[in-house]
Amino acid sequence: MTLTPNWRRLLRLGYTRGQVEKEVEDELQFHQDSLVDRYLREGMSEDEARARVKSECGDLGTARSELAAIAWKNRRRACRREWLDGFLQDLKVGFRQIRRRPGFAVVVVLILGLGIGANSAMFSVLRSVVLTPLPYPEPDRLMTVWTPWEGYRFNPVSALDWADLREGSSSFQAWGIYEPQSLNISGDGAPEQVEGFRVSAGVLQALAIDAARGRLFLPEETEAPIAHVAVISHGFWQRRFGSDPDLLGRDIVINQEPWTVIGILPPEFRLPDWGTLVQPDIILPSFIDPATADRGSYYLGVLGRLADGRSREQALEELNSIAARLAEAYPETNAHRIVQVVPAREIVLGSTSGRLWILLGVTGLVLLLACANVGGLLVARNLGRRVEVAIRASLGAGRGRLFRQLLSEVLTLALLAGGVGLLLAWLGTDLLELLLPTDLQAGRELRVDGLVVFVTFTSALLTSVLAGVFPAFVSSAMASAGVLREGARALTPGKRQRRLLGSMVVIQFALAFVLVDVGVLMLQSLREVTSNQELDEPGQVLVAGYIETRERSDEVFLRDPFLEELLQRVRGLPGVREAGATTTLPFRGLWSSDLLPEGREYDPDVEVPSTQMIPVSPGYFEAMGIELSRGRDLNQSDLGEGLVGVVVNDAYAARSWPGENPLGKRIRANAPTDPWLEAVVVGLVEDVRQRGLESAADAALYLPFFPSFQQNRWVAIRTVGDPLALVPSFRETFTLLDPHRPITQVFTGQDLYASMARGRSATTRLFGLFALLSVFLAAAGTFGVMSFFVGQKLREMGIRVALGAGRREVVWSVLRVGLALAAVGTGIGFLGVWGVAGVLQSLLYGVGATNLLFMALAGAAMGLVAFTATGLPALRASRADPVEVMRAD
Amino acid sequence: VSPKTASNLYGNLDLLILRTLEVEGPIHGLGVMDAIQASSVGSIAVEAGALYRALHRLEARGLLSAQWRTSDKNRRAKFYTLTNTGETQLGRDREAWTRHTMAVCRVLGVEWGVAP
Repeated sequence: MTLTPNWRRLLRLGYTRGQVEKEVEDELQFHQDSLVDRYLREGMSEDEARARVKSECGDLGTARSELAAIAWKNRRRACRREWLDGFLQDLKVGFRQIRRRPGFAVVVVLILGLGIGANSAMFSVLRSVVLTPLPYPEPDRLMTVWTPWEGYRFNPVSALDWADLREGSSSFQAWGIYEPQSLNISGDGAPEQVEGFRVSAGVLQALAIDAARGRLFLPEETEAPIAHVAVISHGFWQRRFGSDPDLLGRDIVINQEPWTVIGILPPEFRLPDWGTLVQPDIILPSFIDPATADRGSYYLGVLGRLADGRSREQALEELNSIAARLAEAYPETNAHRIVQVVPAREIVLGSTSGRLWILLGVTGLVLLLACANVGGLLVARNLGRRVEVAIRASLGAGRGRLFRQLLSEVLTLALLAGGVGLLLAWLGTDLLELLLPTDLQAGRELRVDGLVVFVTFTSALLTSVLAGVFPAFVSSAMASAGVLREGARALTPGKRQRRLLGSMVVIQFALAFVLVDVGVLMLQSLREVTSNQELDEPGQVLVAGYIETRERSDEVFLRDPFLEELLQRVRGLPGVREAGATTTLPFRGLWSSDLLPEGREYDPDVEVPSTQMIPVSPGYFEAMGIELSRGRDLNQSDLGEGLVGVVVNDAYAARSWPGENPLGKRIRANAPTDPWLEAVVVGLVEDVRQRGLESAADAALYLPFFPSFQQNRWVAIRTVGDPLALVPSFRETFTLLDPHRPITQVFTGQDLYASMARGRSATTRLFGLFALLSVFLAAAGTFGVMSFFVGQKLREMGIRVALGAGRREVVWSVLRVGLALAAVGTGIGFLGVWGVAGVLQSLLYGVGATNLLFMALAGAAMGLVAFTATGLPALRASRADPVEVMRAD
Repeated sequence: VSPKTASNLYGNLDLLILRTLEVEGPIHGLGVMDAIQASSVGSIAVEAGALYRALHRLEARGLLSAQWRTSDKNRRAKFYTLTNTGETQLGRDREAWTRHTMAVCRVLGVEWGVAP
């Protein structure tokens, strides 16, 4: 790019290399020409003189390029020095300006500081969560493996499929299986429940971690029969065992059995899991027993590190060729089953990064709004300073100088705002940790680091350009406008300046409309999510959880004697209306299976929709508040000889037997022969969302048995009075039955809804905050600009009033301008919302991104803002006293 | 005696230039050359290439500053002036040079200031 010298000077780019060379040339030419002149004067002929000079200055030719190089270096250094001096000078001038009008500066710094701070805080989250690599060596080589039905994603792996994949593949340097497991710790100290993981040695090798003390599992320790050895986390070691250095080699009691502690994990150890990096307290060996394992039950996570030189695509190809062989060998379970290889990073981030970028985008809008706001303030103020600027210009300040001076003032303000922003961001990360849904934090520690500081000040610089460059143009343009000649009349801003000021209002309204609309939509989504409460009087239900620790076995149709005894005793407590239990609370579904309803035949090529499997005890429906609409509740007889009695929900009945009575219908597991489950429907209940508040209601089957792999027990107790008042007597009953078993959590049915909505309400609060901030900024900005207009037009108003214009007419003339600007801005914002509807939709639930009703609502809110922000200055205008105004000239 | 035309004059060209500027004030390259020749009564002549290299180097070190001005014959020429730093440097170099030369004279067994 070539720039005119004027521009180069303005931007302090100094001279080009060519110019420097020309100067050297000029200097040497002068030298030679002068010598020639001298010799001519001494009486030599022209030729003689030239020849003499040529011989004397022979070495100049070789010196020329060297001279140019020295001069160029010299020039550049001088340039830098001058630039720095100029910059410091500008800052000094900027500070002087600020000291002269501290109020104005404080307002600007606060507005920009808020905008910058919000961005920096959000960026620091993005930095910590998305932009930081996983805490393992070469994390990009870590992959997870899944075995979904064709066209689906993320189905865990069954034990037998894992054995075959492991046997046949060489794609991974190390890989293994893992599954989460809650564990009861007893022995010394109070019993407690901790989060544990079952992992095979391959997983730890793949993660490439070492024990902080002791050692990790040996490969043979995680093969059946497994060794009874445990590795515990650094935190758990400190918390439960007081960092006892002699713990290694000792036994601890896990699920009532002794396990030998062989190692302690480093403090920074994390395990990649869905949407987070988890910190399990205890790691136990995982294993599969081919003798008892079922090829059709999918529950294992598989994690591996690609072998050197292998790519994800190669692994995918190899594993899928194995999958094709398995599909032929075991069509019942493996027909249409493929292998999916997903980088661990994607699993950990889940949908997090998308949502975080959206949040950053939103804070970016707030910053833009702040820029437009400050831009408007500056334009207005500079128009007000026209006389001052004109005087300066007449005293010889160049346009460039004035331009620079204004930019430097804005730059100073923006740098201060950057400092404020950084402080806010630093304070804000703590707040964000509370405000942000935990799944957005992905198990990361949020912090402000060098990159965040850098980005903050870069955005401060950018902000100063955005907010300052238009006002600076206005200011420098005024310098040449000959304001002085025109006297005070020229104080009315010209058409161009008015348009510029107006555009600042338009921009603010456009951005504010988008933010308000998003805020309103988020609020509506939250209402949609929480308003629909399918459970009956959830506030009357006490929920308490504990773990049933049975080793995984092939026996599925198990009763739970402890639970039966517990429920029996609880029902006898005063204030209890009914008690029941489940393994799977509403909104927290876990176990699903393929079932064939009566009327459908087994066919390996036809996909069977999955069904939520929910083990429950008798009395659960009434205790939890799930309405039984037909048939009867489960009872002891449902798990006897013959068919298993089950209860289905409306969704299952509608999907399987539309329009028919489901009672008495048969259901069996999806297998050609010898299905593991054969059941008959004895009851029908209403739908309950099983996979979180934002899911649709799934088809579900309520079962009268408790399989060994379902460890969680949730006791639901419907009470007469306050459910929490029952806690002490429940605890007493529980402990009396088993003093070594910990109760994990106690809450009410209402809390269940609240805790499920927590992530969304946090996000909604954030958006609400941004919407409020933007409305406030837009209102203040518009008020400022309109007040300025009115101030400038006071004279005109005075004349109008003197000529007999009514007060209403004057008010309207001002109001009209403001409302028109707001309308244009809102219109642009409206189009903007349509533009980003796709992105926006991913944040919403139960409401469309371009819902006209809510857009109208947001539009009305903006109208109100415009009316207020314009109305006050307009009223002031109407009170203009013609005599006063005329006299002021 | 033919004038000395060594390009570096035993490394003392810089010193001669600084001294010349101290006496002559703002002056262009040719002027410096003439002045050195004149004040050395014709015994030192400076090569043009060496002179300008030295001038530019000294300018880069901040010992000289330069401005473009119109010369007496109404042509643009680059005029050099001694800066404050240059003045200090000159004082220091002059003293060092003198000490050194006196020492050399003593070794050579010649009297200071008298040609053998």
